[in-house]
Amino acid sequence: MSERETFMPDEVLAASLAKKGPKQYTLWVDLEYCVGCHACTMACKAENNTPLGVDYNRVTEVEIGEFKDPQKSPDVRVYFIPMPCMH
Amino acid sequence: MNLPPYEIGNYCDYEHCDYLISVGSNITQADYPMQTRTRYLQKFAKRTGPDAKKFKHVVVDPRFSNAAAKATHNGVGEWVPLKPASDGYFLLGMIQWILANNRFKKEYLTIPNELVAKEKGYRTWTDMTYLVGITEPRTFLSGKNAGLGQSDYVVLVNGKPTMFQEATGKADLDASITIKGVEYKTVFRLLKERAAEKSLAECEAVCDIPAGTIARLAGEFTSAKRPVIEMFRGPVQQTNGWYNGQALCILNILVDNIDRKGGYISGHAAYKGDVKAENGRKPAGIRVDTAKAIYNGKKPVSTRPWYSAYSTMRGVTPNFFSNVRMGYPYRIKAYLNYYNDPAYTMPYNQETIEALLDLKAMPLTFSIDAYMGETTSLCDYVLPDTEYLERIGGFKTYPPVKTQVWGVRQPVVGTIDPVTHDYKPIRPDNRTGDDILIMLAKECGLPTFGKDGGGKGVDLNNSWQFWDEYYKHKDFGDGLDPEKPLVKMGGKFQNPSPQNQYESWPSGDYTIFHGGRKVRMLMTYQEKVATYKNSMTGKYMDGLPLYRTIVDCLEQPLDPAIYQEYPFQLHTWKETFHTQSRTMNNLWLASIKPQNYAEINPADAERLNVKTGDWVKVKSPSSEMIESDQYQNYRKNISHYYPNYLGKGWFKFQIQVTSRIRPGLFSVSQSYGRFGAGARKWYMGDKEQPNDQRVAAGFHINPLYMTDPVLKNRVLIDPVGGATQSYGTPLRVERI
Repeated sequence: MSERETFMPDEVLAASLAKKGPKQYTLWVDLEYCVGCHACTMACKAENNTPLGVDYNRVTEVEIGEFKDPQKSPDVRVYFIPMPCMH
Repeated sequence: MNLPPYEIGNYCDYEHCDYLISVGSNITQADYPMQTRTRYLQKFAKRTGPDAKKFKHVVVDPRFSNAAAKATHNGVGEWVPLKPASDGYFLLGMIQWILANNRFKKEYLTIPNELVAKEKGYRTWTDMTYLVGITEPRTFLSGKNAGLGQSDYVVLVNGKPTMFQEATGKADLDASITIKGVEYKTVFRLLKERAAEKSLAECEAVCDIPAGTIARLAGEFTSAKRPVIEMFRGPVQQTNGWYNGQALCILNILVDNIDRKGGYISGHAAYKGDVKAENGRKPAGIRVDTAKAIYNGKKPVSTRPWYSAYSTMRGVTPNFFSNVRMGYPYRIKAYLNYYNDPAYTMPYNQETIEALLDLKAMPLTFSIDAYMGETTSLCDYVLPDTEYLERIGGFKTYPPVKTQVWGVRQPVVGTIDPVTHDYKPIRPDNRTGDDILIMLAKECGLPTFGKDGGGKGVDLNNSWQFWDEYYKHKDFGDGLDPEKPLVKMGGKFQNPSPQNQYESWPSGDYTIFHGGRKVRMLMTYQEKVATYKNSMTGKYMDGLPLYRTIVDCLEQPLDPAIYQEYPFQLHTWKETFHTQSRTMNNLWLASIKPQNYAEINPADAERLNVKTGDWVKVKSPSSEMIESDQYQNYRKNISHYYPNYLGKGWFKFQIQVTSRIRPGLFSVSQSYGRFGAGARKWYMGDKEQPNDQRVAAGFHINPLYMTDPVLKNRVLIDPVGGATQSYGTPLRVERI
């Protein structure tokens, strides 16, 4: 399955479900779509009515690389990683 | 340029664009509407668009914004950490390279009029071949002045002056001529001469970016199939803002992408209604902020600036408050604040707060507000509003939506009385903002309100009646009838199918651009600006972009020596999940990031010997003014507004070290450090009202903005466009 396909093709899904034995599910989050807006955190709070300070779903920002000299091209990356509780 | 005011900007048609440069546009994090643009960029441009595989996004911003994070996510895009306030050098540098290397669309720029444009298959044409006099005021050469006949513009066809409408083919692009002893040059030549004033190496030194960056980006930009350079308020909210915006639009004109499919588009046409108002009054006279007014005083030059060339609907608010304090050009009697929180949001807000506290400057003040915000708490009368979303009304959309849209806004908490149609709030004394304004208008006896206000038989007693009438005219017809499609659908939306978005011309596809003039001339030279004088110097302004960084009201650059003592530059940005002053009191949103920090680069942290969590003190060249008599009322209460004030102009900040900020910057995000909206204890009578310390968390940078070195009581403002210098003013930072 290529990275550029947004949805899982039917035959891949069918082949996966046809496998014998207990099923193990994973949650695939396409990080390229996550822009770090934190709307999922708020949506989860609204849905589960969690008290302040308790969030089942948070988004962490990971900063990689260092940029100190403006005369060199910066090599910095920031990744937004949603951390759902998988419930 | 016949584009909307530079302040709002146009956007890119993301889906069909293959090379995008965003300058100071906090895309995916801010802007109208953040979600729409984000989806267009992340999904349509990068995944499903026809050129998704080669799409490159270059983010030009002093901060590694979320857009830069996404641009570099797959290793294709790029972040160009420009020094704040150097945008003019970057943009004009790109223009220079494009002109010097003949990488512009030559055939397009030689088109002199609509007829030739149509013949060659273009929908737009430019003023690049029109002649402009080089003696001031620099206006276009008219047919009359050239002795040819009636015409606004004159072009050269093979060296012969011709009225622009009579040219049948291409006109001379890079040319000049002397008529009656006066030299006239084409706009193109003037632009070329202007762009050549500095070398690319000088530009890169001012921008503080690696050598060769501008040439490389300009090369990539002009070789792409559908390149766009877009902006939002980053390049515009500066003292060179008008010219930065103009330079950016010119770059788009040079590659012929205005209104094109995959180009720089205006989009966002709204459906419009109307309330017919006979005998309606219109504002008259000179505005206190001197926007759109021409200085006509006795002295040859004015003592305060006048913003004659200012073109947008809003005013020059910081100038309003300093003018009000000085009684210039006249004293005001009353002030009504609505939909605004200037005591918190104005750069150098001590002037705003002092004006509100000064009975001579503002003897009577009112505020319509949903919370006891900073400004409201300083006003004499408070008229409690509902939330801005809780009302009857409507909303358009913004680019990049290319079809016609209008959303109807209706209250969801309160109810509407079925007979009188009055809004019934859940708290007894609340009214919607529109209702309050209509009540005030009726009380003042203004025409076009109350009985028969909207014409015979049309009463305008509340906002429901106003909007019901509005939705019966022009593009609408249903009114607020709950059974009709307008209310049922929640608005009116055009089918966004491709045939409603694009139309094809021989030279390629254009966006249909509903509601505007489709076939139009694009002006690169701003004759109107060039005929205005800076009222304080008496000198004419320039019709073409200028190489400038920060200038004061006399258009002089800041003294470079100031950066020796104040080596840091102020910088701010907006969090994705906050508005500037309306959301911090929502504790859910506040819990995402409980406080902000002053962000600095690791290189500066090493120099200052600080690490994340340490405290520093900061002052600006003008923050010591707080101690002077100019701010005596403000100073008395400063511990209430800013508990981090240390005295003698120093403020205390907590540091976060991050490579997301370029070196030399002191960056503090907005929305934090509140002192109103329930951030402090407040009382109604003796009764304490709801408040929470969490609303007050974090820091606020606005008192640290530098004032204009000439006027000394106001932030630096663009003499042409009226925008404040929002970034890059000097600061001194020391470890505590």
